[in-house]
Amino acid sequence: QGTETGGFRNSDPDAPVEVTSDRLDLARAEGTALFTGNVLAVQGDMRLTAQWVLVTYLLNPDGTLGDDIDTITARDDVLLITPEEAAEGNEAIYTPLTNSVVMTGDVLLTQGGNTVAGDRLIVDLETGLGEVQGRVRTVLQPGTDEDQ
Amino acid sequence: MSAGRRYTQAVVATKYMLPLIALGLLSTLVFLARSQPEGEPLRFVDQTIEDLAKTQRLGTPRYSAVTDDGGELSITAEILVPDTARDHVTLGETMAATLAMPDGVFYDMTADHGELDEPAMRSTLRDNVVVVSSDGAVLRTDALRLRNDRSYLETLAPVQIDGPNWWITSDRMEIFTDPKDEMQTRTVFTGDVRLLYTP
Repeated sequence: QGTETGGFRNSDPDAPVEVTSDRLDLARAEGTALFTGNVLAVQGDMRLTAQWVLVTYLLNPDGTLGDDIDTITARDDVLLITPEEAAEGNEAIYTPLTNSVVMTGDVLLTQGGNTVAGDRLIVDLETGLGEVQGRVRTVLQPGTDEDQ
Repeated sequence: MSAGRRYTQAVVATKYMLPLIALGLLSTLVFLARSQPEGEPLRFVDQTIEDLAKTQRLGTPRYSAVTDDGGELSITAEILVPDTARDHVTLGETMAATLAMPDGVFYDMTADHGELDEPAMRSTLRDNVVVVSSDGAVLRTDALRLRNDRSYLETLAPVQIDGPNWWITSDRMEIFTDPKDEMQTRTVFTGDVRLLYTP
């Protein structure tokens, strides 16, 4: 049983991605770029913050570095923020080709006033639909306006 | 009879006198000849001699080394001049260097000034440093340093790199081979790293 959300639409997957961090390690042969330390990635109105973000590029058949990103994996204090929603978790994997994000580990999804917790959050950035799965429970914020 | 005798004395005198006169002429000639070349200074422009002696200039020399981990480094300069203040340190103008990493990636570098420090096995490029990598990225910084014994490059000033569809800026950058696997080239940016990627 999951909870549908609708606020994660990635308005422009082709928008430029800006990433800032304390450190960046590029490993050519493996086609990886590892950002560590206060990592902030911004694309359009989507923001992802974490302490560790690994970008793996698709390698061309001849082994040279491709231009397309295969996956972006974020770990440690992962927070995905869009204008309407915020999702926290231990790890998030963003796959541009399928335009989807899978977040795992103590996932907390906040939308407006209420928060949903679960083991996994699967977000389809095209439709903006997100589904929290596994031990889903809704956490009411004590003392929020809805209680009055 | 006396006239006859007087005639023969004259002939005898000339027979002796003429060779002596000839001998005398010959010796003065030789004497004169010997002194003439020593006195004439060789005609050279004094300025070039001093210049050469003082600065020991080398025109477009090339320094190259194979590094321990199998890379190749070569450095050349339009002018290399020994640093008068420090031994075995050479200062260069209009530098060009190439670093080929073991995995085949190479970097062509140019800079206005450079310094080759033999004892420390290090070379430094300064002012207007531009590095073009074999995969099309162009790096700009004010100073970078190379090691003569390892395939290693580190910038000594903030760096900006422009790639095909991305650019990166950071306070510092290092390029080196992975200690565990020399065929792996690693590039590390540290300090205020910013990357803009346009898909």
